[in-house]
Amino acid sequence: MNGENKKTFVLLASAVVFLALGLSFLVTAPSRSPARPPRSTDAALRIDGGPVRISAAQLVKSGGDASVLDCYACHDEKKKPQVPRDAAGRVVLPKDHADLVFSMRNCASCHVTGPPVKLEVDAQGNTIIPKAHASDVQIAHGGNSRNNDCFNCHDPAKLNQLVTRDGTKLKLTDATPLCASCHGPTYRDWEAGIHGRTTGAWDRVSGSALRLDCTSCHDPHAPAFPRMIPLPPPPAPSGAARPTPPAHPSK
Amino acid sequence: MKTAVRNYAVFLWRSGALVFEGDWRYFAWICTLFAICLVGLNAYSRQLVEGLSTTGMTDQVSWGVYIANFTFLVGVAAAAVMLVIPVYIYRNQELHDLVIFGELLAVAAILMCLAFVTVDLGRPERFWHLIPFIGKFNFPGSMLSWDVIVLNGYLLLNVHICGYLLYCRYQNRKPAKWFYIPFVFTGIFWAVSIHTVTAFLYVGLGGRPFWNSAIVGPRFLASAFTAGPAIIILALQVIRRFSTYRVPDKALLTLRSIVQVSMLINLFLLGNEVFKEFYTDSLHVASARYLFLGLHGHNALVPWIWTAISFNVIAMILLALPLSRSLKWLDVACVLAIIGIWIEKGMGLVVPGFIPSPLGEIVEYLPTWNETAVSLGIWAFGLLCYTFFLRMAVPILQGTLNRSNESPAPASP
Amino acid sequence: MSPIPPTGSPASAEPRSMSRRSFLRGSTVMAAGVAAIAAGLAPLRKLEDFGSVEEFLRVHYLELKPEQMKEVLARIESGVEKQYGLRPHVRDYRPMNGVEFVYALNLTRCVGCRKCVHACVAENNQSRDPAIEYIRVLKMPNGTFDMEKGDHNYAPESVPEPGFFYMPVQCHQCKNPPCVKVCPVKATWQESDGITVIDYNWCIGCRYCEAACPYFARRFNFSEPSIPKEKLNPNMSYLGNQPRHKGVMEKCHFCIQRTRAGLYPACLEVCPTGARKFGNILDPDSEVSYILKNKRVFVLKEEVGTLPRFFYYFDA
Repeated sequence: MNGENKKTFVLLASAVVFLALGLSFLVTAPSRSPARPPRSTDAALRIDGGPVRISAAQLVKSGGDASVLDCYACHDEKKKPQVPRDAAGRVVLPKDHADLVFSMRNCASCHVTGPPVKLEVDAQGNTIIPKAHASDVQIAHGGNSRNNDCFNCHDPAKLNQLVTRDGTKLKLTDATPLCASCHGPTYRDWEAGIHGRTTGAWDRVSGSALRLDCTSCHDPHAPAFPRMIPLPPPPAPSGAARPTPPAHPSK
Repeated sequence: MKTAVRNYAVFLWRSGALVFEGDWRYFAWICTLFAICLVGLNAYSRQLVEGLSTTGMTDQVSWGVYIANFTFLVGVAAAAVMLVIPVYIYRNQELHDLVIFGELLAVAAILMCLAFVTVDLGRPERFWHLIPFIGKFNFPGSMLSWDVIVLNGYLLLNVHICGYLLYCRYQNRKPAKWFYIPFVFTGIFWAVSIHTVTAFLYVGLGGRPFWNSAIVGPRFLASAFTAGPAIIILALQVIRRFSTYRVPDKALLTLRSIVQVSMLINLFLLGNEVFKEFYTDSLHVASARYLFLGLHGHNALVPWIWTAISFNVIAMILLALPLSRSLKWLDVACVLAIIGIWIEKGMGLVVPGFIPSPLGEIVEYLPTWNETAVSLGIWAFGLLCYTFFLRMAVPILQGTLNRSNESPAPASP
Repeated sequence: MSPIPPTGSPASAEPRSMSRRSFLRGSTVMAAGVAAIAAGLAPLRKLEDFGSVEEFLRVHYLELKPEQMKEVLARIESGVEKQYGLRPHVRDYRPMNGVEFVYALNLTRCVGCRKCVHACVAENNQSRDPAIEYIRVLKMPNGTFDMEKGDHNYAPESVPEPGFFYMPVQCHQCKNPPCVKVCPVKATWQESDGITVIDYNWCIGCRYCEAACPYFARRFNFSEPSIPKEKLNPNMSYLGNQPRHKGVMEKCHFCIQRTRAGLYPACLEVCPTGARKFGNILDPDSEVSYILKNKRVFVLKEEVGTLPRFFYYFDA
């Protein structure tokens, strides 16, 4: 082939290549990366979620469903009480149950009449929880069996009130000074506003903030927060392999 | 005035028309490059539609092969000045014309740099935000703003010098010294500055200890002055082979000694870096450890960097030996040096800076096919530009394209 | 051997059959080339969101006059309504006088539940696919701050795990921000209340700020974000949680639509243990002033000189 023929061949072959490429561009649509499965964590989240303990009355007032309360913790299952419900079918809480706090028992709410409660202690001095209450009171307040004596906080003479070490009587709904009498630094932080959840407005001039007291978050019998299920880890970076967790700290 | 414009238009038209003339090898070459450009163009169109998720970049490794190529090519552009120094400072007249070939390479390289930066942007249509006084230009605070100025300035400088010298040659006119000599000398300093500013992009980041080292600037320059002249050596041999232009051996040997010295300095600086990282053995050594040895089982870059280092060492040995005075071995050394430095600057600098992330996370990087296609398309575009530039410049320098053989003006209608 | 033909028009020098041949082959290859270019650009037909002319020409946030801002906000609202079927309320919140925000985080109280991460995603209209999360929680072994030993992907049955502490990291709104220093177009800057903001319509997507940030605080939209319609938070601000588009940066902005209205940020609201504290450091009676005065606070990577406004401390 002489030069001119070679040139013709090259140019026409190139034209064919260009057209073939063009066709391939039109045919292969831009590929979308495979859709990742939707992460449904939003459902697990409410902006005001968190282990805040609220009384039955607060629960009902805030529109919560009181059927989460275990009526049979006190009432005999065999002699079922009439459970009043509202038009929407939600449980309506009787007025005399208003101060019942979910998962906390007020001895006097049941032991109204009858002889004063006598607690039994075992050989080590630990209070023995009566069999009837084994399911609703777990004492886990401090290590070394520090608070296994109910009367560290409760007034043995009057079961519906609390008593501090120096004899000050406190209502059940006003437990904060009792907590403060042992947990000083935490109380100091709480008073300054830096212990515990504060929600609402940082600017107290234009808005208000909700501050909660001790028993609104902590169960006084087992104050440590229950362990939580963590929400999912961050997504794997697109296009890259999932990062592996680090090696055990050896360095 | 009207005749001056007409003359210039004729010059441009005739040079431009030359691009479409050539033998079958010329057309095979430019059609192949054009085909690669097409693939790159299509890949970039997909990237514009889908976003940068078509690349392998992530929040952890947010710069990849685009910026790696950009960094390498800024160095190549800066190295064109290596021809300027012997000619204008040492008054080596034989190499005079070769300065133009070097500066045309710089123009092609800068066009590639601008293309690589543009394809890396998430919103390229907002480039106007970078224009001083029209957009909001963060000068002198941001090193990227310095880079925009120096790169565009360097482009204009080289276009002016080449354009003027070529036009004067076409017109058989002696170029006016004041109209190009000051620019040539400015170009020497400017070339050093474009690569130093690019280095400073990386050096100024305190959150990236792998980059936050004073040695990065000198390493950039040393590697640029190795790879750049090596490319020019190869380009001059191509000109020799495919045109009747006479490229003196002296030019190739002068460039060889530049590559020799620069490679020595480059490897010395690498040794400095390796010592500082591994002798100190602080927590900041993590990125270097990832690059050279692998980190916590991640070692994607280890084979690459050791290949690069061995290529560079072999190239240095070859260049040191008189053996490389023969063009065959010189070419081998140049090719090894270019590949070695491309790897070192690309994967050896850009990617390890991101691994581990500032919060200690290791996410490795692998370019996608789309990203590679865009990069190859830009390389093809750059080579195409340089081919066209040479296709126009060689006949002008040889005198075969000259005002003396303009066809007579057509009779007025 | 020279491929360079004699100058002058080739047509006049060659016989007529050659010129016809060269014309035909030349125009064939040129036509094929042009057709291939057009085909190559074909994907651009799907380009939907390169925005309106107004968006293209819009000036920087700091140069928008109040009437222009009103128009822009209305345009954003109708754009969001068209896309999500819900008309949002987009406001331009200005910094309050005499306010400098500071965040404090009690590392003894953080249990690593990641509720803050997801509250932020919900509040700030972050993309769910690809998922963008501003807050990263590191699980660190007790006794070290070497972040390489941190685990970002812990997923045990329950937290906290013994022997570890949990450290959430988000934008620290540094006083000496490296991201602001490096942005070539000033798309990110620091406002008078300390928040480092981004003008999403000005950002060119070069990701230099992401390289510069020492805390992995900034995120880039590698593709068009997608938010489920029912999850959209309609209470939006221009500089904060208005939906972003592909190709721009975003990051934690201390919930600017909440904090500049006097409210706590979403991450603090949802934290179950009260580990997070936020407020105005210029107010001596604020919670954060108390913390900085009384607690042993520290910042991350202090040696980098960023002067973060995010302080960590251990309590008990």
